[in-house]
Amino acid sequence: MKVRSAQLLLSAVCLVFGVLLMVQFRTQGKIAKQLVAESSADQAQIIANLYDANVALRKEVDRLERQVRENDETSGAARAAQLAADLQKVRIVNGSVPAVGPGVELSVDAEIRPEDIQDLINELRNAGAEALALNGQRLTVRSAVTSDHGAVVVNNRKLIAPYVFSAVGAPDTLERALTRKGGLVSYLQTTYPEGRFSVSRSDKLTLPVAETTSAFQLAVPDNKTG
Amino acid sequence: MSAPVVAPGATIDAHLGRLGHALRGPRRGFDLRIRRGTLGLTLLAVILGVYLAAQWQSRPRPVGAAPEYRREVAAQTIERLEAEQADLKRQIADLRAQLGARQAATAAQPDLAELSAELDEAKLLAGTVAVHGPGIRVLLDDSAVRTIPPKDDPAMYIVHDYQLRDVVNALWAAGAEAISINGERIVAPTSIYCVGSTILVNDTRTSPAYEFLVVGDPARLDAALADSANLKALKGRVKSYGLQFSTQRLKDVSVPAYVGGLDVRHALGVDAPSTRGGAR
Repeated sequence: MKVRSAQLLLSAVCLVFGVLLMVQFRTQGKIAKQLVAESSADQAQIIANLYDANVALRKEVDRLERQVRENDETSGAARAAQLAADLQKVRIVNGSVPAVGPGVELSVDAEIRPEDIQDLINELRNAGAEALALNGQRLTVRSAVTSDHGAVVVNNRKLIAPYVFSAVGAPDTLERALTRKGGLVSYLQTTYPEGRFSVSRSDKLTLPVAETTSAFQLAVPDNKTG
Repeated sequence: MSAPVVAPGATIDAHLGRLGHALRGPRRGFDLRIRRGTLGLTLLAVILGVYLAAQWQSRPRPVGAAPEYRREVAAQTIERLEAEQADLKRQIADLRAQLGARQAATAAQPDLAELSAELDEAKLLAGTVAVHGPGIRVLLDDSAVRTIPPKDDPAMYIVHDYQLRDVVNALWAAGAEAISINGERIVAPTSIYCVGSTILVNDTRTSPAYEFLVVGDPARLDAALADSANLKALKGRVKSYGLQFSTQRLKDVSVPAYVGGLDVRHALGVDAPSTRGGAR
């Protein structure tokens, strides 16, 4: 009896220690994250971004609802027109048709790294670029930026400075994103003080069709609708 | 912060050993047992007290009540907006399915069949259709290190937006056909960026671990990520700071569809010569 209660006590003690040790460890483990947790300013930024994203999503919902309605109401000819318009839009996104429109050109006369080019493309997409080209080559989602003996390679072609990014989209938004203080371009300017960075707006940019928009070899659609 | 953890732990081991002896010991007189029991309990209470205190101290100290409250309100706003975002995405997925069904019906009309097939193909490439096929699964996570040496920059121990971009870039370079990160399909308008330490993909908040689902040639993708010439910076962090990075080849990977707008308002397409009135 005595022995059993002692064993029980010891088990209880061990259990409590175990739990405490675990909690202690977990707390320590999370420290890394807490040190870089979201500040109030970050939260405000996230709220602003989410708000904008939701506005865009709501527009897409409205557009799709209209499209479904039109599809129900219209005749064959109108449906054909709708299909064609839809197809053209998706092809612009894919880079499988040339794209024309207003936008900005960013010229970078500096020996920047492939990573910097990647980041600039990301920045332009983030600013809402609808179609992109770099040194006259259309960029698609699958365009990789790599390097070959120090040279920047995009779509399997070596590029040389100056790097000229052509982005079709809202010129104001694009220009603001590229020229803002503390933005990527100003950061790169600091990193490459000798480099020459310039942003210019254009009423009409013409981007060529992408050289490679190969069909999928391995990926198959889950279903036919989408 | 690591000092209070180690020190009491050491003392506790010693105490435990002694307590164990007392409990396991040979029969003793009644009085002695009570004394030892009380002593044991007292020791236990002291140890627990020390532990609780250590625990208390290692908790992050709030800067002040007011900012804490503001943060709470902001966190709730973020949650609400994210719920709204998830709902809008569901609506978009649903509407696209409806529209797809109608367009499939349209395809039955002989004059529209070709146009409809071209649209299906274009959507497949654009990423608004879920796909599956052979590929790999890549996991990238923050460091598993428990305590950061005071001299070190904590930022080195966590995954950053540029590292996700580097992995995506390496995957495209190795012939990937479809990629998603934590359920967000990578498409032409996708940007991967951070606000503070939070990474957003397709304007959707993500958190570690980051899971890439990729359709492509598994051997080629895996080899490209393993190649020492690729992802040098990331691998450096893996080695020095314990970031977690692993790949797994899979026979069949499902990559979800992009659920967001494809905003084309400024760009006009110029008909490529081969698109209409084809040779068929």
